[in-house]
Amino acid sequence: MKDCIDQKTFSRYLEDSLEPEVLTRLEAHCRICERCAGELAGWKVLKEKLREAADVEVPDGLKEKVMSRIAGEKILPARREGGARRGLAAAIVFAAALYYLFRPVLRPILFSLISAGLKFLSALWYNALSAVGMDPAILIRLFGKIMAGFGSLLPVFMAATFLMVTGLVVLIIRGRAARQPG
Amino acid sequence: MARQTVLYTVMEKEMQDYEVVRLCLEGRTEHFETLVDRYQKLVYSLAWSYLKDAQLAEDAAQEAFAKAYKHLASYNPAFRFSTWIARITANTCTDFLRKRKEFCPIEDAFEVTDPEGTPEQHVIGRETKDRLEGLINRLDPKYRQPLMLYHLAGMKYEEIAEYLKVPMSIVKNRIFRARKMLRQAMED
Repeated sequence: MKDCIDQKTFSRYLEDSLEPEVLTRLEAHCRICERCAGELAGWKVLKEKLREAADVEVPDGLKEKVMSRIAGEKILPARREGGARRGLAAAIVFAAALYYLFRPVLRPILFSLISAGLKFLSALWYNALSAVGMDPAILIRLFGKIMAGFGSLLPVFMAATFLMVTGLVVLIIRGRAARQPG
Repeated sequence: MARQTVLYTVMEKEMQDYEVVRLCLEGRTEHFETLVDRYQKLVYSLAWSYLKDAQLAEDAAQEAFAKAYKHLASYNPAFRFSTWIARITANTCTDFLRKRKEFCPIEDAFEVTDPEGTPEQHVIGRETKDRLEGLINRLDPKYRQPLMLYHLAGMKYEEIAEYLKVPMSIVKNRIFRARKMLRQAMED
């Protein structure tokens, strides 16, 4: 039948949001259309089941208990918006300044750390490739080239490490912020 | 004096949430009762749907309201109070579950006690509810969550959209599809 009721109208019937004239039309149509009457009956069953499922009674005296509980409490001052971001920016600036001031000492330390990291990675890859029967010489040559050009690559490694650490810190802070009330 | 009190109560009923919050922040903390009154059903239903235990749900609801009160100054009036308190409740319930070290099976999400009726009716009622629970639990979470927030927690479309951080059209569509899937599953 061309005037049959669509599913969205039935769905709206379920939440009692149909306009009175639409509801009247729906009911009138269901009296003459067997298929829609069956549909309506099904939606009515679902409506009833959902209503039963949602029938949760608030315990008596909840409001009074809440009010007596907060009676001694104080409202905390508002958290400053973007406080974590400002803190992170300050930490980055501080770290950069610290590095600039102590770079004669920090540079060799960073260099040796990165060098050790690369050695560890190359050993890891060497063993992994050997384990699966591949020729590790390819990687050795590759890492050899990287190590040869290490001096020029140092800023790149530093920037990458810095970005990774910053990203991690941001993720941790955002994760913590999401857990806060509100 | 009595007339003044009546007038005051009527005004309070019509006050927007942010106005009530402002009064609380100005030191008139007794107005927090209005917010508890407005949202106790939402908070308790939500807590109950998470925890499946009347006592725990009541404790969680109290805890959620207490947290909301303490952090009232951090409430942003640009958002609905309902979504703010719903989020606090959800976080509180997650903490409760973590403390309890056991995650309540989602199968219990629609368990409702039936204080009336014969044992036979109770069993039949229980069976149909179990069936509905089973059907709901088989829904994809992206459909199940808005459906539960709408039908169980009694949230409005706009509130769910704000809570889930998705456009309202998506919320409406997901709830519609969830109902349609439930409807079809009930027929099978």
